[in-house]
Amino acid sequence: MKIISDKYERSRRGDVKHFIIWFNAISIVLLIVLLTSCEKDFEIDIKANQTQLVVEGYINNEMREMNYVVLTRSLDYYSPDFQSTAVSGAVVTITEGDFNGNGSYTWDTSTKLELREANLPQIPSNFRQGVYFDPRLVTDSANALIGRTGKYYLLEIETSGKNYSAITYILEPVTIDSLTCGFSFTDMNDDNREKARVTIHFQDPDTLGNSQLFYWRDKGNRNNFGWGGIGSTGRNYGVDDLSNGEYLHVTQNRPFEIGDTVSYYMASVTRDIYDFWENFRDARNNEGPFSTPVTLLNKIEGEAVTGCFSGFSLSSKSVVIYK
Amino acid sequence: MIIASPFRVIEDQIMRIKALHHFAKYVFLILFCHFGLGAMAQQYNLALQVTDSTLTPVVNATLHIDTKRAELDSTGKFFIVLAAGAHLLECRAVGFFPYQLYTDLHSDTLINIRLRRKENLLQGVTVTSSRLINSSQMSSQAIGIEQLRKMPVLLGEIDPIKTITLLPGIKSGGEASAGIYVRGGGPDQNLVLLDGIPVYNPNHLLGFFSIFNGEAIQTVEAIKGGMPAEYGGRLSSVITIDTRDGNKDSVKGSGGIGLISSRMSLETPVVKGRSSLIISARRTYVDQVGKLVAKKKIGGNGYYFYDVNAKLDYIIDKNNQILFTFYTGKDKFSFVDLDNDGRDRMFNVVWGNTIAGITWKQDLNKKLKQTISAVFNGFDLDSKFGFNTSNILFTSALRDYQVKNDWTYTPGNSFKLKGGLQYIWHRFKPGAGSITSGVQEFKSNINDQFAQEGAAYISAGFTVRERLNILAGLRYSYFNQVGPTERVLYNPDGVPTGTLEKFDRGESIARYHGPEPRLSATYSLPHNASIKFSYTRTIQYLHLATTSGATFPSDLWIPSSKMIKPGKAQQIAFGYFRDLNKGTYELSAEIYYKTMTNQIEFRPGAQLLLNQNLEGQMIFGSGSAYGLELFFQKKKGRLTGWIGYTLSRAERTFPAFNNGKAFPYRYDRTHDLSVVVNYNLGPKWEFSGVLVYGTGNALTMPTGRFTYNIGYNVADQEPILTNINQYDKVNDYRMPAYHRMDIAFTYTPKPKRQKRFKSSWNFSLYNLYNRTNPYFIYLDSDDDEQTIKGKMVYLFPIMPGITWNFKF
Repeated sequence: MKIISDKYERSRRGDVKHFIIWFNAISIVLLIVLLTSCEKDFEIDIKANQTQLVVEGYINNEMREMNYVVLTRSLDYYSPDFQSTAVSGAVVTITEGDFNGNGSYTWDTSTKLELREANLPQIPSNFRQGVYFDPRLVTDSANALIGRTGKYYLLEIETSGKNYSAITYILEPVTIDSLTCGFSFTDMNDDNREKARVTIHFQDPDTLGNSQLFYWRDKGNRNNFGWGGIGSTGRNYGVDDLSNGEYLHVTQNRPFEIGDTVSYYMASVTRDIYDFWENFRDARNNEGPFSTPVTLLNKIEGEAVTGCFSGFSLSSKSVVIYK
Repeated sequence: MIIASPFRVIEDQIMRIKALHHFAKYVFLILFCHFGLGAMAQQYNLALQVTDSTLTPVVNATLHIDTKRAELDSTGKFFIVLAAGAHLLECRAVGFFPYQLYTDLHSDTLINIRLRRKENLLQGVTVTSSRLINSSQMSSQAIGIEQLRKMPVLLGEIDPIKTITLLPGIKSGGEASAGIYVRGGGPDQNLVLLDGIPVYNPNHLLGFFSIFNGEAIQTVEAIKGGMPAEYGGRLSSVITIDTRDGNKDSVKGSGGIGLISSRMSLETPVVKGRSSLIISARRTYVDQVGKLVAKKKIGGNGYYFYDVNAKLDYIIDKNNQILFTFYTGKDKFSFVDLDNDGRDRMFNVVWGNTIAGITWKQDLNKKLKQTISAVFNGFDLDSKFGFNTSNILFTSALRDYQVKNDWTYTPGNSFKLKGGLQYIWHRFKPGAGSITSGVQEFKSNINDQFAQEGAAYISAGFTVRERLNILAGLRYSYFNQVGPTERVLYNPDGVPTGTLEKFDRGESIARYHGPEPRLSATYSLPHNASIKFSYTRTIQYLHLATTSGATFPSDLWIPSSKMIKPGKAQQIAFGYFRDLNKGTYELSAEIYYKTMTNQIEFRPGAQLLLNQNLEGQMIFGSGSAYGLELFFQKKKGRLTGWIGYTLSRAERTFPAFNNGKAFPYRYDRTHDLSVVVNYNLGPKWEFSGVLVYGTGNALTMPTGRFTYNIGYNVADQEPILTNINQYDKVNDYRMPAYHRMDIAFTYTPKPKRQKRFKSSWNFSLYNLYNRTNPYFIYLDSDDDEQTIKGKMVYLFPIMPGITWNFKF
């Protein structure tokens, strides 16, 4: 079991935030080195927890196996379990529709599809409970659920007699023009392997408010399942407030080994989805003397629930890493 | 054989003189009754000028003339009309020996009083803090440099800001915290004045040290309630730091060499008897020592700060004086980590204040005085940060230009009128920077913001029927954020609309104004006691943008705007004050209640730097605070010191937090205790000790957790997930109580040395019983071990300090 916390993953948070954290912490680090600072175990008495339903749902326009919903329940802080309790037996449906422009939606009931827990081989057998997807992914994967750009999607969940819902939108994608490699170096911490970094080239549309999330696959995670199973990096300055309409060349910090084939997926998302994932990055690493507790944003309607239904409009490209 | 110490001899002499004076007073009274009636109608002017031995006016001296009492202002001048005949005068000031004399008034008379500093006698009586039972001002305390020098402090650095947190009602944020929290107020609600000039970032090194060099300081005073009308612009307190004037007669020097820094002060007459210049400087040398000890390891990394204070004063004539004040200080930090996996990290930052001011004090006549000052205050931050292929440049700055004119009119003994005008031109440079990612550069330049802040005030101090002193004032403040500026408008979801909002030069963007009434009343009771009441209304037009409880140089001061309303506070306080045993002991009890509106917090995880839509990250709420403050002080004798205790509650209410319910402020401190002791061990040794205890800070701790961003590693047949904390109530968890004891010994090798050069050693032990006070605590989940543990990080175990002080 792996809880993602390596240095590169941490660097996914926007560099500006990185900067602030460094700014705030680095003098302290210096003092800690120069003077004396110690750490010891300390019993922290945690108050009782109110259990929440946690919803993690995705729909995209390119990869059918990446459209799924995971339902879990939160744990007491000192619970011995490291994975949230799976919520099994829920009724989970996704319906396609359109926005009427006056705050209402028209849902095409003929598209309503029930997602189910099933024996998908990519998911380890011990962990299949609580993961809902189109059953056709097992039987007829070519016709399994796929999102369409310009469409809205309604997620509905019924579990333990309570109903939950969320709406997301799949934008028209901003396409990756090309991937190039550069900033190569010899990684002396990794058997002197030669590595390089990938630059993504794309045209930002001339409308303000575009935001993208970046995901990648390399040899280390190529066969992994789920959006949490592949790599992800934040863009260096999140949204296009400072770069609207420019042709962009964004170098990702993550280095890859020379010769490896790397695929990049650029997900154009609506601002609320972008904000959720930015917030997720803040929420997962918010320890330290100057951090403020970050409660994960909730984009799901319902009682005692948190989570997000993310609509990704994907554009992807692959490159064999070169010097 | 018992040899009386010089200390005791002086005490005894003072007591004898006092007894003689009391006897003489009765004799004079009898004579007055018999022979003075005819002279009753005859009155004369008595003018007093109180200075120290270098002819520098003594600040805030108190004058007793027969049964009347008056406080002198910074000019040290006083004027009174008295009946002809004999009068007993007594003058007292913090750090000076009291001065008494009889005068027989038969004509208009000018008396120059020269007070003797206690430090000149090496073993002087310690007066620790000053506060008078009869003063109209309540909730105010001052500490002199003599006291500051003796206190045990971290690494031997004299720190006036840290020391005032030992007074009730004034709290520090905890170990190595920059902020000061007065009666439940925030760290940005204190008006810190260096010689009357506001200071925005009074800290070096994230609050480990303040910017005020002990060598340059004369007194520090904190007013936490009942602020006089001349002060405004901050909600919770006024902290005034007055630097000392140079010697007008001869060249003098003083300094100190400590573990991490050294300081030096030189003073010289410019025009003998009329003008003096004093320059004080300080620099830390941890970086230089580090390079000597481990040059390779330290490499290009380093940190140091320096500061320079200068003051030039010139007495033009007996009615005119000019003062120039200057301060500059910088913190410089550099860090390079050339990691061999290609992930270079680099960080360079410089920040600091520059302050300059000119003040003209003029006595137009014996009753009317005015002060005109023009000051500049600037704060700058320049930083460069590199991480992997990214580089970030960031600069921010703040500029204040202020003019001030204050008038004091004293027509009689029981009435004093003050009035004045203040105007500040603010220029905010919230941030300019660029972010480079590989070859791509994102430039951000948040436009400068401008604002005008003005105030007019009038206050009157008067006595009603002998026992009741009233200080009533009204301040009317005005704030106007003006152009030129332009900014992108955002919708409520934080998405830029593409619309640009432009304002021309001088065009009003947001305008606020309001009255700030102030009232203080003191009613004298028998047995040297008094009760006091105060009501204060304050308005604050500037806010500090910070996401955490601590304050940092990267924090931005932002003006009130269309969306950001000015903070407003109201406070009432009652107090009982009493002197015991002829002023040997002083005790006081105060209760207060304060409300604050338009308080600002930022959304958790909010990005403040280079954010064009900073206002979109803000949340607005209110606050309240109430408490009881007890203070008991022993002011005379070999043992002096004080005990301060506060029982208090500070809350905040934000609709967006805690379901709109009130929650404890992070620095809410139910119990707060400070014990300060000075003990004279003999002619050469003096002991000083501090004990502090405070309820732990209120924190929000998670109640639960869940996994998110789930994936599955097919090869290893295991899930990949991220733990996210679930939170419930805000600030519902208490850190362990903070407590610590520090001690210091001051050793003066040759106390009776008559030579010019004198020196002393200060040996201190910080955190004597090695208490592990948490700097921060966190929950650590170990995914390999599958364990979750609470962890505490603490900074300072028992820390020795040694400083060699000298003067010549």
